[in-house]
Amino acid sequence: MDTTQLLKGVLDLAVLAVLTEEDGYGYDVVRRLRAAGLEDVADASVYGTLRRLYAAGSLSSYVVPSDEGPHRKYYGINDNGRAALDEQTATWTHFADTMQALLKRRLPAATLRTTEVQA
Amino acid sequence: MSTPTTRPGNGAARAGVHDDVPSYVAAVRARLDDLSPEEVEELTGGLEADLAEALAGFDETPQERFGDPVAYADELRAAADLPPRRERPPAGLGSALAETRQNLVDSMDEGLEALRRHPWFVPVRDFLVVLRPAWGGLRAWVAVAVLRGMVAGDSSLLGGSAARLLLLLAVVGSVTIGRRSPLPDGGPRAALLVGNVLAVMALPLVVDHVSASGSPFVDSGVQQGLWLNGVEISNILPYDAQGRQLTGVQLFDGHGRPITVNEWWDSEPRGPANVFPRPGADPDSLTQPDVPALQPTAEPTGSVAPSETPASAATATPSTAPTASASAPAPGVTPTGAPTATPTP
Repeated sequence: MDTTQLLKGVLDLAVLAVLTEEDGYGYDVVRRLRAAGLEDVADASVYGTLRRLYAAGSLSSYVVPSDEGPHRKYYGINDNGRAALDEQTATWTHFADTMQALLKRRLPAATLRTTEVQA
Repeated sequence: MSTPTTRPGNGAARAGVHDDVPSYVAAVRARLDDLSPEEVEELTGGLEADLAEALAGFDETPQERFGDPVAYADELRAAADLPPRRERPPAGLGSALAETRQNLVDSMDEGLEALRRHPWFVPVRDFLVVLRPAWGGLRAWVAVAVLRGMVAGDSSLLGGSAARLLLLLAVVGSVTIGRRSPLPDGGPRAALLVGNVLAVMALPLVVDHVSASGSPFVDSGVQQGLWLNGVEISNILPYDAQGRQLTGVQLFDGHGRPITVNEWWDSEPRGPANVFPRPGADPDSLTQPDVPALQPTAEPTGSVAPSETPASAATATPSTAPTASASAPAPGVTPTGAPTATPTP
């Protein structure tokens, strides 16, 4: 399955979750998402998502000047963002449970077919 | 934008690669130049630092790592939920036109979106989709009617069976186009849109014309013959002022053009067509009117004279009647009784 399509639906949630740990700048967020296992995440998608969450009022932002290069733009989650995260977490958990239950019903058959192919 | 063709070695690589970052970011920003400066800054603020860090330790150019900056900018924009790029056309008349067109398309999209929210949208749309072939036929009919109107001077070109064939071909073509939707974007689709708009605008005119003059698909483009209040005139029976029927009367209109009628009962031409009554007509089929005489048939002089002479005489003899009439009996005429009756008013 194409995980980029799945990612599109949960990127907001993932970015908010990552930022609850600690404020971060664009590439920092990308790196943390990848470290968490979302390897396919695209840089530009994350940067765009950060901007959108900021425009929606879920994030605050501040610029940190750098001596040796261009400045960094940090994002941090605010109360709005935490409320959004809670709500989306509930939605996601319900959705994931539903999918899990649905897939479990035909799991034995699927495993059986796989073993047949291998044999 | 610079894309180095030679890749520097490991030691120099980082510096060389990082030199490409500003130009890459500039290309991304250029692609976003239809957005407000604030939006561009929100989207690309800190992008140099992010890209530089992402590239650190990799022997890759930004292009190789992140792909085409145009695609990168589009992805950035889409993820940020900003509208797709609105092409900024070159300045001048063209740009004004393009902007007007874009605004038109946008407002049509918005209008359609608003319509979609109505509960009756789907049933109405489905109904209209069913009617699409009918619209295709109507559109063709309008197009042919307009075409015929334009070449009305040479009606033989589109007269009779040729017109029917043309109409048939137009209907088949138009309905086929309607069924083959959606057309590819661009030229064909725009042409169809323009055609539809023109057809909608021309439809009332054509219907008006048709209801005023009957079907436009009679054998010639223009309505032939002489008509009175929607009824065709097949003959004219002229009478003179005394109520006597005339024959061999030549009729012309105000522009000196002969007035003729359709002689559907008689295909043989008999003399000039503007001579009435038409000679070929069956006399029994004619209804002779009871024509009143506008002027009496008798010689006019005798009857007119008496009314004039007393009048002139009366002016000479008004209120002073007794003495004047007695003293002036001379002028030959004898108005004795008349003057007393006339001058009273």
